[in-house]
Amino acid sequence: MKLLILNGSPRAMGSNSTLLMQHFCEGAKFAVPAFDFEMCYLSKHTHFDEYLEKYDKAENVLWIFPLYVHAMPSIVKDFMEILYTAKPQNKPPHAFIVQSGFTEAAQSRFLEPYLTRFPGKLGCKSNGLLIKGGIEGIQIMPKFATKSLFRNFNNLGQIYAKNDKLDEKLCAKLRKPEHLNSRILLIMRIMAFLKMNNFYWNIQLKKNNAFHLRDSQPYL
Amino acid sequence: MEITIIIGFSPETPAEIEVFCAKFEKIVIASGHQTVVFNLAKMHIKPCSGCWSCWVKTPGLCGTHDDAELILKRYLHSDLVLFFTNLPAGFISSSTKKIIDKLIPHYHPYIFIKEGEMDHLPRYDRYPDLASIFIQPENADELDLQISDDYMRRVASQFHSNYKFTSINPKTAEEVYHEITNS
Repeated sequence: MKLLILNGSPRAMGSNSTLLMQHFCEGAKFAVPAFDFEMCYLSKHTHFDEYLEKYDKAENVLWIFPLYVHAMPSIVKDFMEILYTAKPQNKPPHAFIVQSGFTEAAQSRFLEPYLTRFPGKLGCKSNGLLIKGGIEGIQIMPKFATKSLFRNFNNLGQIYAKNDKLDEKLCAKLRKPEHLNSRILLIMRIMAFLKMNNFYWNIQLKKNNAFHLRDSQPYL
Repeated sequence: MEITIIIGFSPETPAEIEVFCAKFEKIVIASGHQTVVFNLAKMHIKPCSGCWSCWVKTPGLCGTHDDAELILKRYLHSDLVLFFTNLPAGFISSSTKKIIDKLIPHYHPYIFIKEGEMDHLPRYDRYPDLASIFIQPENADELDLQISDDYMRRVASQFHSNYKFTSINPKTAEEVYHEITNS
């Protein structure tokens, strides 16, 4: 199977999307050694013609990107428009993985209906949609904190390589929590009480010697 | 009232849209308001690179210096920002999405809970009202319009703005002006 991965993270190779796909593809290769894939970075606008040629030869397409202001980053929409206008003869099924920094999957609900419709606009079928929250920071988390996430992405890749689609049960498990439940809200309240709720951002602000500027209002 | 119009058509802005906006400008000015029109097709704006300089290096300022800075400044001094977009492939244009992504410096990275969901804290004390004009062919898919309308309303919520209206395929500039005065 020739899978074309359309990586829509503006951070490209250093992104969380790329890291997640590494685990996904490792799983796919493990399950089906002949599994063949190619990664296209949509941040490289000048490569779009080349990506269209690759699309014409793909047997499956998998989009992965971070949620930007409740939808796809503009570079992803840009390539969607180009595909829609090009009307490719090839009709590979499309799957989507949307990852976000927000914990709850419901934050992606304004994009989800569009993604379920987009493959049909190209005359293609959909073969899965995964919404996964709580991804920001995975590159600096200790190994034990990401072990389960990466194992699940490895499993997702294994099943995908065998069945040509994202496993619905695993996607349903991974997208939890759908909403912030009382346990998460309690943890957030405790973190706020301990003044640790902004820990991740404050560390980065301090590292950049910008903590004192955190409340700047430069455009007033 | 200060009204900002952001024209974001993909792949390019049709000439009749520019004429429409010129008429709209005249009506607004004649009514004693101020307006600025940004045509994204004529501006040099790079997509958000996800570098987060605006959150952790130069808080409030985009790390990419391009024409988006003109809009970022004007945005906060507006009473109403009107997104004028087509819906290529059934959703707001990549051009409009690009400027929405670039407005992130106006908000904190810090999270708070609003109506049971996570949201970013405001960086400023006030933000403009938002509204949209969608241009679609007459045989437009109703669900596409609904999805884009729902989306723009959510953007307003995240951006701590009131959402005033969505005008679909307005026939005249006067029609849009009436929407503004009646909303």
